[in-house]
Amino acid sequence: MIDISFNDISSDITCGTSSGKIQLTIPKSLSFKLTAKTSTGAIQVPSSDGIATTSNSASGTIGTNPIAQIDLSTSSGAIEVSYQ
Amino acid sequence: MKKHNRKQKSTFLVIAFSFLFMSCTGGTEIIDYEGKSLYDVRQDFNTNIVNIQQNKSPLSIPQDSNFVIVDYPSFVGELSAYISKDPGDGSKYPAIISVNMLSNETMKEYGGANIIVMFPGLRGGNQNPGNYESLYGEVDDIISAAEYLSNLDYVDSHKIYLGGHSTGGTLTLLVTEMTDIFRASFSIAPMDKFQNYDHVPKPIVFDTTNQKEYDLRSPILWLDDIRTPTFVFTGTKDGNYKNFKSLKSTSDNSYISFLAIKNGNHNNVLNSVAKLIAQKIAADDEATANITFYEHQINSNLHDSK
Repeated sequence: MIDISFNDISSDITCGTSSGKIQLTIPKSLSFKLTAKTSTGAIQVPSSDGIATTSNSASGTIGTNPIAQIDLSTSSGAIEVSYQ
Repeated sequence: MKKHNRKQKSTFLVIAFSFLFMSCTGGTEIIDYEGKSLYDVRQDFNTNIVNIQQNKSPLSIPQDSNFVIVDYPSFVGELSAYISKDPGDGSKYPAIISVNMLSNETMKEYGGANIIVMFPGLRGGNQNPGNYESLYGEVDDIISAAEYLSNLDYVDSHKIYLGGHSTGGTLTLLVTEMTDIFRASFSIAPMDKFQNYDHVPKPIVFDTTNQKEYDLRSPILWLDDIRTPTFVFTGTKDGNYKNFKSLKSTSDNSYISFLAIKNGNHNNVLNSVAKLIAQKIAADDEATANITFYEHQINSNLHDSK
C-alpha cells in the first residue's frame, strides 16, 4: 500500500505500483489535473465534476486553475484521493 | 484454486434466508491465532451448536419462469437452490451467487445481461438437512454452491461471482476469506464482528462460552486471507457504517476496495449497487477480473433511484 500525505504541493506527482492500494491526501481545496488507473479496484476522488471515466480509469480537472498534474496507477487495488 | 480441496461436495440453498440471529453475550477474550488463516483454524475446529434451529418451510415454486429449483451436494447432504435456466444455446455465461442481494427489480438487470443467478438455500433452511449454524457451516454451503455452478455446462467456471447484503454481506466476506473460487465478491453493508449482532431477534445457536466460535464468524479478523477482488459497500447513514469503517481501517489488503455511499442507508443502497454490479460483471471480459467502481457512479445511481 502507498499512503502519502502532502501539506503543500508545488510540482507534479506521479505514483505507480504493480499491485496495491494508493491513498493520497492533498491540501484542502487544491486544484489539480488527475489521471487514475486501476484494472480492478475502486477509484475515489474529492469531486466528480470535470472527471471523465472509462472502464478502468478516471481523468480530468478538479477545481479551477490547476497547479499540479497528479498521475496515479496500480494494476490492482483501490485509488483514493482526499483532501486534508 | 486454493484451500477448499474437499473430498465431499457440499450444497446448500437458502432462499428464505431467515438468518436467524441472535443476541450476543460473550466475545471479549483475545485469542492469538499465530498468523493462521481462517481456513487453517477452521480445519482444527468443530462448531458446537447448542440450540437447534431449522426452517421447515419448503422452497416455493419460483414465480419467475426463468428459474428452476435444483439440488446440489454439500457436507450435510443435498441442499436446494433457485438457479437461472440453461439458455440452451451452448454458450457459457458468467454467474453470480446471491446471498440476499438481488430483488425482483434487480434480477431483470442480471437476466438482461445474460448473467446466471443462483440463490442457494443453506443448511437448516427450506427443509434442507442440517441446522442453522449462524455463519459457520453456511460458509461451506456457499462454497459448495460455487462448485456446483462451476460444473454446469452453461456457466463459465472462470466467471463465478458472489454477492450479499447485510448478513449476506457478512457471509460473503467470510466465504471469500476461505476460497479463491470467486472471480470477485461484492459485500454490501456487512458486519465486522459477530458480537455486533446485538439486535437480532432469535437466540444464538452456538456455544457462547467459546470465544473461537465468535472469532470464526467475524470477517474482520481474517481480511488478510482474501486473495480475490472484493468490494465492500456501505451507506454513510447505515447503522453498519461503523463496521465498514472498522473493516476499512483494519486491513491494507490490496484485493479489497471499500466504497462509502454518501447518504445511503441500510436498504436504499442495495438496488443501485446491485444494478451497477450487473453492469460491471457484463463488462468483465478480460482474462482476469477487470472491475473498477467509481464512488461518484454509485452515489449518482443512488440519487437516480430515489
